[in-house]
Amino acid sequence: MHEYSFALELVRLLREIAERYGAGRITRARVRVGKLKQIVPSLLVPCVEVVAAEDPLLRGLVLEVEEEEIVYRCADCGLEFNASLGDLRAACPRCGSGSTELVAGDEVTLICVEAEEVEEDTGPQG
Amino acid sequence: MRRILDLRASLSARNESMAKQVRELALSHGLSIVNLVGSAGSGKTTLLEGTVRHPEFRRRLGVVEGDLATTLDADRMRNLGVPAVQINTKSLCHLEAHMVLEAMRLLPLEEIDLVVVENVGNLVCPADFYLGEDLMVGVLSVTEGNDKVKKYPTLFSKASAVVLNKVDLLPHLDFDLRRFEEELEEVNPRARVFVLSARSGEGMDEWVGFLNALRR
Repeated sequence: MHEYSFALELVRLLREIAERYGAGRITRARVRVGKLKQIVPSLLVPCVEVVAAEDPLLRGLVLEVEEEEIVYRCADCGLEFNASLGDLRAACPRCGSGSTELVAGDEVTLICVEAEEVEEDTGPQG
Repeated sequence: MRRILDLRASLSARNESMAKQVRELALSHGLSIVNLVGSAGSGKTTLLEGTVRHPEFRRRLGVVEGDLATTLDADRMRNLGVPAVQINTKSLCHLEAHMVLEAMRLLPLEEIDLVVVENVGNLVCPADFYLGEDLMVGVLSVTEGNDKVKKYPTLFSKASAVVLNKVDLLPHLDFDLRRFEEELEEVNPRARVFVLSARSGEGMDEWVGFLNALRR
């Protein structure tokens, strides 16, 4: 259940962002999850909701999760190719080389957030 | 008013920065670090015991043990004279870099030149957390079946080496060794493979030679 570790880190990061930008509340966050990371989006979302609920800055947060494909690059012929977790093949499908390098699919990234600004008290209008 | 903030912040950044501190500590003491990952019962601790007992083993070993509970594994290593620190993760299914950093500070770093971190027994979660190691080594035992490489591709695709343990039991099992090797080749063409039995000692020479030759 390593989703919980990522949920804790995401909430910590969101709190930091809310404070840095002086936001009243973070209403929405979009996260990109590499498919090699074995994170189940339908587990990550409730984990984050539970952790976020404790913080007024994050109450009602909507988390959107998008997935990122696994991509390798061949060191010999330069081909970039996708791989699927269901039948992972890391050798180059064009030249057969085993010297391939993972270039995408192993990251979890907070892409963007929607922040609600603090309602400023402008004082009595005159 | 609402506004959108573009961020591109990695959720692994904090773990990575702790892993970097682990690496710096290792570099300043001339240590190599191996992260040993495999199922509960695959024989990770037995592999370490067999390694330490091997007459050709030339490294000065220190061990960080990760388990939900007990100090049983650290005790086994200490009984062989190996300095060992036990981490109890309670409910966490993997080790993270900050735990390893803390544990490494408890090891006599001046007296050792190789740290093996034995991760929590699990083929899934440990693969997602870099600990600052030079090498991640996957351990699979033949009793688990030859299909595990394809079933747990993240770990086996990231491991620099894979140990296939308990091969003394092969005559009693349906484990298809050739299939295992072919599938590992598909998932990870770069992995070094060690086919051995830590219990009988078969195949241990090559593994021990590999650890002896690890860059310090």
